[in-house]
Amino acid sequence: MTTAPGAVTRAVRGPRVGSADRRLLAAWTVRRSVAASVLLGMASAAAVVVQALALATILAQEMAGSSGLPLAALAWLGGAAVARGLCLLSGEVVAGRSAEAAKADLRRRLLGAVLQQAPSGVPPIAEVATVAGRGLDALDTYVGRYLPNLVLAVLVPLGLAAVIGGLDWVSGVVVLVVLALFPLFAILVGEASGALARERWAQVEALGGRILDVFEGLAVLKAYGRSRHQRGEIARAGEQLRLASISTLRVAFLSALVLETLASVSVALLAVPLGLRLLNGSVRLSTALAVLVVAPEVFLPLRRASSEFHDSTEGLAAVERAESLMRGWGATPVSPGGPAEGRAPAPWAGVHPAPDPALCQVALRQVVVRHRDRRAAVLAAAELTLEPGQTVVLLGANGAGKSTALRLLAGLATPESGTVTVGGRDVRELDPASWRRRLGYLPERPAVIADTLAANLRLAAPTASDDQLYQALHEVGAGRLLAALPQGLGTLVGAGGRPLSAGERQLLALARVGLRPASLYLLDEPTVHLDDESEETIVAALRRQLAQRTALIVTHRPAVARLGHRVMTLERGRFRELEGPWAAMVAQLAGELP
Amino acid sequence: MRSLAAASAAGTASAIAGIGLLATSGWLITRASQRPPIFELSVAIGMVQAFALGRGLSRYLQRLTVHGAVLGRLTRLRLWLFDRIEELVPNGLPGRASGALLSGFLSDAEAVVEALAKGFNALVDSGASLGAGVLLVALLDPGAAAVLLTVGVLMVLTAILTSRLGRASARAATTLRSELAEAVVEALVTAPELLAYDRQDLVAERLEQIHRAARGLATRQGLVAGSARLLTTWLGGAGLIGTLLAAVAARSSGRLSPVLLAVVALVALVALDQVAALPLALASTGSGNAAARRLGELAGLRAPAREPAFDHPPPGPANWVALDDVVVFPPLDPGAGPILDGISLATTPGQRLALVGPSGAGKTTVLSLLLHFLEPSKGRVTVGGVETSEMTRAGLAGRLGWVPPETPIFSASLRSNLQLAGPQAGDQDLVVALRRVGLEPWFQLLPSGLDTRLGAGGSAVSAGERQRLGLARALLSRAELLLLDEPGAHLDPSTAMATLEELLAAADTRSVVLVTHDQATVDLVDEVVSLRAGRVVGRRTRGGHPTDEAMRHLAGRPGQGEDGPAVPPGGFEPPTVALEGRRSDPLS
Repeated sequence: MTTAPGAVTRAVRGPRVGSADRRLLAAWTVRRSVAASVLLGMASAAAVVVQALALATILAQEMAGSSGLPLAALAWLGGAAVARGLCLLSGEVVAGRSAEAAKADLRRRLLGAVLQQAPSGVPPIAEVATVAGRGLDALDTYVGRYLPNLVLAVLVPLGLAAVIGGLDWVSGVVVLVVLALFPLFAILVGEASGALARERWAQVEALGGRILDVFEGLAVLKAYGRSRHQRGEIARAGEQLRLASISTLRVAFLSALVLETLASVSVALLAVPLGLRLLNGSVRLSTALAVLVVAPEVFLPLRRASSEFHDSTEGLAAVERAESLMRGWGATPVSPGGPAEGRAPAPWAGVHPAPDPALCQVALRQVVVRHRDRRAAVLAAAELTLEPGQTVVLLGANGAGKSTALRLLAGLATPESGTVTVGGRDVRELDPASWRRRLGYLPERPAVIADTLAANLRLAAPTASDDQLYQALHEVGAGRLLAALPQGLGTLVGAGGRPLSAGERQLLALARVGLRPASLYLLDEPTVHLDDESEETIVAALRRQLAQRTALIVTHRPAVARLGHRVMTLERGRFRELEGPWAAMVAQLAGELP
Repeated sequence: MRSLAAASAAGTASAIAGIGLLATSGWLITRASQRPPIFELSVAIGMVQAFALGRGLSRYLQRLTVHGAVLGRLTRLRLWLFDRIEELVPNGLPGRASGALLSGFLSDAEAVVEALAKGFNALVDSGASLGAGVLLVALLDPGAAAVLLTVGVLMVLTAILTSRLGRASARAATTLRSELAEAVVEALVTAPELLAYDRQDLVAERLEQIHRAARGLATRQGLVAGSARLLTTWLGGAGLIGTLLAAVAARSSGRLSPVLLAVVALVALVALDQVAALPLALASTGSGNAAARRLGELAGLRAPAREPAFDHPPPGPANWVALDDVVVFPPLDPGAGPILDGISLATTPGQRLALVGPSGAGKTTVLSLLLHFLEPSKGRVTVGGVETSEMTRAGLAGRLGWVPPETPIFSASLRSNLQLAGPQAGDQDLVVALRRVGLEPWFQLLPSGLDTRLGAGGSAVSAGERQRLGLARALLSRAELLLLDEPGAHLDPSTAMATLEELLAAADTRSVVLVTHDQATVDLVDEVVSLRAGRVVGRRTRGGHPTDEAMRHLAGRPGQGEDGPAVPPGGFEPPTVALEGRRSDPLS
């Protein structure tokens, strides 16, 4: 994040081509359309050659004093323009589509990777959305133009040099020598100016940072009546920034100057000897004219590619941001190579049908889980056994690892060591689909998809009838919600539809849990965001449902906590059972809370 | 303006050099084929070399002057941004005034001036080439010049008109982008349940729908941009043929020598080529349009509070506040429900009041009202008995000490960071303030005392130190009333508690309004007011009897994530950044 003027940033940073390009081109559609762009660019260059030859023929004929119109050559001239126009049109379409394909491919991979990690923590949603949306737009020019132009910058100059050489070998040699000089000059100028430009650029960046700094603290400056004063600072810093930017650009534009000069000097280097050789008749006029018209085109792709270096840096930055999110969004790994809670669950490929948790023990055995940004373990060799039919309530401070325990049981996170067992068998030996069918999971943030209320409910039970949906809603006391919806179950909810409040979302998710034929309920704060009346309804519904089921409930609410046969708390990464009558338990816990 | 004129001059020189290079080269070659004495060519040879060198040099000058001109504009645009954001911050801005949002505006300003530079260059390049070409050809054959001019103008018009045509699809792209953002947010928010129910396919399906639409849109945009290039290229071809035919006719009738015919043809070729490049150059200014639109939206936002011309200072010490039946609607979305819905509050001088309640209850909005960042739609807000809208910024600044949840630390010395709130404070005062907020041990360890640089590139400041520095600032402001917003937001619960205790002790006899979501802090204040959905739902003064101390611990801290610092307060709502304009409550 810098507020240094973009032009400066780009002029100073060199091109970087590397593995990111290869990964971008990995998708077949992207590769195909970049190749198509290159072919169209070559065809367009060929049309330029035809145009040059036709024009040279016409002018030579006129010099020879021929009467009558050179119709054939004029037709070639027109044909070349028509062909070139068509190439450019298709080039634009292909460029747009190849950029879109690259963006779609990267977006699919990004979202896939982030969703893989999603169970193990709250993803940086705004950041992912920005990177997947506006961030990837930098690829429009990068994939659509820069990448094909990079290839064309090699192929077209060499091809045109060959054409010139075919017309007149002496001129061909001149063009090749100038082409060879170009990288040499570019390196020399780059060496000389690069260090200077980078040094000044650092100054530009620091000034940009200072300006952003003041903008970010503006509310406080305003509150203390100091914004007037800081405005002067901004004006001064802005002026310094302008001067620093200009002096940087003065150096940074030197490489463009060299390229432009080489390109125009090459025309002079071709024209003057051709003129002198025409004097003694050792070259034909039409050849000389054709060489003259083609010559400026030799350097055009090189100039274009160099002016698009900026897009290369911006495009690569976008790819890098996306890839770093794919690797994981945690701040820093716990230890080099060490496992972190945030790592994606390892492939879970068990085959055994899951036993019914209502009939057998479910347990965490010596489970260790770490957050990627914390050194201490969230769960440290934690032991927890859920007896069949038992309801266990989990209390404890925030961040103690309660939700993590639920996610482990739901098979949404993998412990660093230790196992989750069902009926004595490691859960990972079970068929994941059959295990999930046994679960009624209520996460911290209930899901609302942009669809009808019915579709939202059927997430949990795709084949449920409308009657069953109504029943599930009434069961959790969502009758009021239903009555408030204009089209009942058919009402569109979520983004683009009727927004649901936090409490309504909670009711929806609870109704979903009720629709599952589940025998293990894993509920994360089932009544958070609800008023007392709704809480009562839900507690009553839960009391009925929990009768034949095993359950682990995380809660802060006394009414829900009273549902538990056992009350546990988590401290220093281990489960501890609270003994005695309810009030004593609570007092015991309260004394220990910070 | 003068610098833009210089840029135009440099651009024209570069266009002339480009045309001159090919024209003199062409003349040299065709004349040489007539085998004249060599001295006749020497002037042309010199000119070819001069044009070749002059072209690169004048381009370099053009680039520098154009950037010089737009950088000056950028400086002014930044100041405009500063004024605008200062007027709006923090309640009138969409979303939080986060670094991302602000650096977004700053880079928008850059994108706008950069597009200005590109568009200017594109028009100067094509305009000057066409003008110089037409003038040169007119000297040789007016008929050919007329053809060249007509076609050239047609090409420029085509390029400009088609670039306007692209705007409709640009709007479609904006819609698609916000749809995409919504889909991504939805996918991430719903991830745990989708995984639990094995329905990840829903995400892929929605994404595929959007990608299909994006492909269609890309094709349409490609067709529009491509037709611009196709039309200008075809027109250019026709223009070249037309100019040639006119010149050939002139030669047949003896008005034009064959050598000059070649010159006319080559000049037309170069000039038309430059104009044909216009659509591509104009397309590259497209990102500037989006940036300009965002800045335009910023310009159109209504300021949430107006500063009066004259200050009406409170008669006595400004250490008591009152809100009288106050209703506040979200400044950016007045159609949404009220943030505060008929709230009344009053403190006595020296009193410490805590506002508690879940995220979105309207606690921070109360502080914004007191700071006059925001004006109520209905009701009165007074500080020391005077309405806040009657006091100027400078008047309020001396009376209120505000410590926001994320106190900004500027990259400057510790001294200037503190003096910000009390410019009159001497070094001794600063050290005393640091001691009072418990920062003395930290201060002792600083490498250069008050001159130590903090912030980016300076000494690191932890979250706790940051809050304490914020309070030191507030103490130095000599305000009689401190407004503390979530002082423990970024600290773990036990540290937060200890810090708050120390901060309140440092506040000494000053009045305090404390905003917190943590009910456990209530023992430290005189009165607690619970807010929920913009209404007062409970009050308790010290000495009142809480029902069950322990239950409050259990019931407290709603809305906190399990993962502690990873989840921002209120992290259960979808983030607002991605859903621009959908948020009803700008505060959290």
